[in-house]
Amino acid sequence: MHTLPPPLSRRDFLRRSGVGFGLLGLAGLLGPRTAGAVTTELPHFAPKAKRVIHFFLNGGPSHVDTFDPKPALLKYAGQPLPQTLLTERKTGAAFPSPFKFERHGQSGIEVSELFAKTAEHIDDIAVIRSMQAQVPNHEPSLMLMNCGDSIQVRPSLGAWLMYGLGSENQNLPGFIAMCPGGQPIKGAENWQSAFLPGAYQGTYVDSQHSTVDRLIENIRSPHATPEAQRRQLDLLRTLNEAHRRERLDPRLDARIESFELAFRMQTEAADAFDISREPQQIRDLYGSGVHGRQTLIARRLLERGVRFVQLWHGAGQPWDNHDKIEENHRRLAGELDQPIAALLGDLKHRGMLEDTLVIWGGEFGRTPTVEMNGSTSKLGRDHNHYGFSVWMAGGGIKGGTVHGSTDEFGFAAVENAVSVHDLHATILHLMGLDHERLTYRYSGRDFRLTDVEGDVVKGILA
Amino acid sequence: MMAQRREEQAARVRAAVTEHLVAQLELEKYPEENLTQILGPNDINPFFVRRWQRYLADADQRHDPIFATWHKYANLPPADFAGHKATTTHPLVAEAFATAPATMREVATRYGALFDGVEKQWRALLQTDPEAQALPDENAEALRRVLYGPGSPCTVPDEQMTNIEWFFPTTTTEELWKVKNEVERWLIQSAGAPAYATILVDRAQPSSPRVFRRGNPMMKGEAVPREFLQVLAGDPPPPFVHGSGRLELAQAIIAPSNPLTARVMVNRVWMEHFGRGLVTTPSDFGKRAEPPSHPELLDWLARRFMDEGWSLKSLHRRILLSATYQQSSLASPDGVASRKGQELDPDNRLLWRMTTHRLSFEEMRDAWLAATGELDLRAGGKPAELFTGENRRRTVYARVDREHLSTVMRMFDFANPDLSIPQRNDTIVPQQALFGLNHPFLAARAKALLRRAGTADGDDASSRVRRLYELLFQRAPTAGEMDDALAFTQPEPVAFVKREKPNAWQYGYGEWEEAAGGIKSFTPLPLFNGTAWQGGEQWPDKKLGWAQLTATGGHPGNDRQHAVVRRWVAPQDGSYAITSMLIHEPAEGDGIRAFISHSRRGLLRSTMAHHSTAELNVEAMPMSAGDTLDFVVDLGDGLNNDQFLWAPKIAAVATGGSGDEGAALSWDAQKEFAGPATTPLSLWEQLAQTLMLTNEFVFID
Repeated sequence: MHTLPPPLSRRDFLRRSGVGFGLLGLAGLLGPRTAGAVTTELPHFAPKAKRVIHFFLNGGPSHVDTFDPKPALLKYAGQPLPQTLLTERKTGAAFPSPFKFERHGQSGIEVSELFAKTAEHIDDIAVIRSMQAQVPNHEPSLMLMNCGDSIQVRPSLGAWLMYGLGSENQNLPGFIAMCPGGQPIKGAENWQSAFLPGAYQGTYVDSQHSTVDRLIENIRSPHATPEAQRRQLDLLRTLNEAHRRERLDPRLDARIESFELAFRMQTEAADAFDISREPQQIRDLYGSGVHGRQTLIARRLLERGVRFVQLWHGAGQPWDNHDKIEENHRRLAGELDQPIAALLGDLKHRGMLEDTLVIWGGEFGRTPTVEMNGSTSKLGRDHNHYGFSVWMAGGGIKGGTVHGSTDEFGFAAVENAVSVHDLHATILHLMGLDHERLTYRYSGRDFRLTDVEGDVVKGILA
Repeated sequence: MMAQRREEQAARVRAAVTEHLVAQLELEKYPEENLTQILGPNDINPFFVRRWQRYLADADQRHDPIFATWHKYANLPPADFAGHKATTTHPLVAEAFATAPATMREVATRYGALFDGVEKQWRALLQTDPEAQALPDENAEALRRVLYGPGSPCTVPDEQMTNIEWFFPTTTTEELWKVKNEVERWLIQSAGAPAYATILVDRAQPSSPRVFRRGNPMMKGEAVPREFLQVLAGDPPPPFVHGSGRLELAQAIIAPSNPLTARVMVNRVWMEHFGRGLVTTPSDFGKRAEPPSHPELLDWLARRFMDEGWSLKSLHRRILLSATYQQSSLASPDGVASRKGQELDPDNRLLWRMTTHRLSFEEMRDAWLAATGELDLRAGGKPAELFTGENRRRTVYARVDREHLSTVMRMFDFANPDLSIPQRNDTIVPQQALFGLNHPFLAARAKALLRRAGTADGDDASSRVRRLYELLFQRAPTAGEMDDALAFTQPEPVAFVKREKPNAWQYGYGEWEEAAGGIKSFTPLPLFNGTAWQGGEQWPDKKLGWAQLTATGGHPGNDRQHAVVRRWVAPQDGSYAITSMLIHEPAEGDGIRAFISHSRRGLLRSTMAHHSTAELNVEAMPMSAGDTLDFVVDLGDGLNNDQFLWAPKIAAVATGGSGDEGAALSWDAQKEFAGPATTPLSLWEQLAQTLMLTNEFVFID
């Protein structure tokens, strides 16, 4: 295993000159080094995907109502299952899915009517039906899914990708987390950088807004026009260059450059977030709702070289349907199905799907048994970390695949169980990173996203 | 309240001894791992099941006659129960097991019945004698003590909420936390709250610490004896014997025989002065760290630090008075030494010159405020938000909200408050530049700096530049810098500032006057929170209630005196038309009233809306510059679900012939919705801001 140097030696710092919005990744930080140092090449191998978009269905979408059909539940409808596992609340009898499943595509994978439009792309999708988390509670599961540890404060997947690869566009944040109308449970911890530099943290964007100054902090001046700012920057450069001449510190150059980047970013960010520049038919394709807009903005960002975009469904935990799952899941999926299908089609059309990794999932799934309020059914499902579904499509993914399975009723993963560490290892692998070698020295030891676990899920690789 | 809830919970457990004993037979249903379950008052709480489990194990160890029978049967296969008679010296238990039970479940039930009987006796006794201390029958009393005595598996320990929150039903836990939080909030926020620090107090009975596997307090690993580190204190290290051992630990850390502590401390102070420690990993002096660059120096400083009673002041003085610290970071005048240094030690590990010091975020903000003469040097007191209101205090008093660390602080590498961060990152990213260019704080400082430098128009321009340089850089400008600055403050022949369409909208409240067809008096809403104009930070506001205007609509105030008014001011004479759609969505309540009023012509349109939509349009009408249109909404009969959507559009209509450019103009309440107007910086203020952002200001040689 290569050992990376402690992060903040002065030498490292010198490599950090000329950094952009999200800093350069480690690859950019490590140039030719002085004697005795290790040269690490990043990425570790040829990446299959260059960028990631992650639909995070926060609250926990029900797998038995979306991508994991369980007809056996019908046999037991209204009766207790042979075995009911312990979850956060009490659940009762088997609760067959109220949604209709149908086979789609060449692969014939069954998907419920909730994601009928997405299902048209099923031959590009690999469904993992055997995901497992650790506990049936939101907060630790969100931390596990995003940061690889349910208890300790650790950097998020996006922060690790930024650290490993940097951004391809220095004029935009490389890691953007969008959520309309507020933040999910655990807020910014979901996209935290923890002990990695603050600039690797996800930039939060409330996609409910539509003007760029409401989307990114300090992106527009309230007190100067661009022309006036250009004059200021010209003077600043003149003064800084004179100052630079007698000094040895490369940070001076970095700071000079950062002002030019900031200036360019103001126009570029405004452009990236402005979907009115898209043709009408594209906007229609994604739909007019907030998720259509959010997804279309995401595509514009990915196109411009943003490394990782995470799209949250909404503030709090919208998919947490303990009650009336039929009504609520139908509404929520109705908001997402068209934008997701549009994105998959649009990426494909643009030739971007082959090197863009699309991820769909929540922090866990839901029980196949109905949640009870005393002796009355709430017509909803409780949290389920024993088994749930996540799917991926695009860069490096073998489409039309089903990997693993849950038991007859969808309670627990029984075949080819995939842990969240395995999922992370796979994502890093597709991005050209070896999860065992992407390390960061903190507090006296090297840390990884996958801690001491994780195996790449080979079965879904193209 | 806590005592009451603890007692209630204990009573529930005492009333369910059978269930807790039955639970021992199916422990797999009561996980010990970190799995938060929502529990009702009548659910069997896994924490009590585990408490009973431990109690039974202890009883076995000390050969407690009460549970001897339990353990006897627990160790037998049920098929053999019949052939075994209970042997216990406790007569009541012996009596209960006069006949052999068939199953362990029956054992549990018989014990449960026994305890129920004792519980009933005790309750009855308390009825007649509230002061009773014990049951008269000594054998019954022994059983009672299982339910009530010290270490009873039925009671909730008398400890801090953090230690016992899991013992209660979920709603009780939530209730207790809420009360506790309220008490703490009161302690912190009340007017008379003293300045205080959090302190640790040892428990009377220290508990034995255990390893938490994978950091999970639910997954207890091996017990850890209270003692110092083996590697420093010998094998095995002598145990700590006083209380929690915390004091002994502190003494061991600073023992003269342990030089590590002083080395680490000295290295940290050195690091803050030189930008890098003699050991570059401040929290790792182990085998995987780089060795110190100057080991003798490190030990010499550490030794003196200890000898001088761990005086930080002496340590600082010793470092600051050194020739090494007093070097400049600049290249040497003749360039020879610099070239040689660059060649042999480009990294300056040997400190042949000073390392340039980049101001930290706190130092930078303080330095700006010091330059403008605004820095508030008051010591102590409560922290405050950095960028709201008139906070001019030193940045060290910034409020740090661990859950919502401000973006600005994070971008300037403020240490993550959730982790131990021995040394901050040192990044240069464009978001920092964006802050400098666009944040209102910098614009305000530029204005203040210019005021301090003298703003009288008659001032000599070059002396003003000189003054700016003195305030910021403690030196006079060079001739070239003077020329650049003076040239900058001359407006360019072509106006470079494009005139933007002035903001025509205002946001206020007032009372609708039927007779006049207009608003009685228009008062601006006082606060813009980033998305809405309203009465204050809190919504509803104490004074102005629910009154609020947003980009797309709003909410009227709580009575007819507080209608909300979106006002448009005509920028020039012309003819203007209005199109708008008023939507009141909720079916609840009784809806709202809406009016459009012209400052000279009075009421133009009005409607009532309740769970309905209304188009409110006005065809072209003449207006003079300065005339206003008010879009007014107030309550129906009462306050209930009165939120509405209403974002009018106004278009200038060509009057024909004159080639009037106004014809192209239109206004959109939603798109143009904005916070308070900011005045653009003057050229001089722009100059001041630019100088404040220079590398010379941010890097110290």
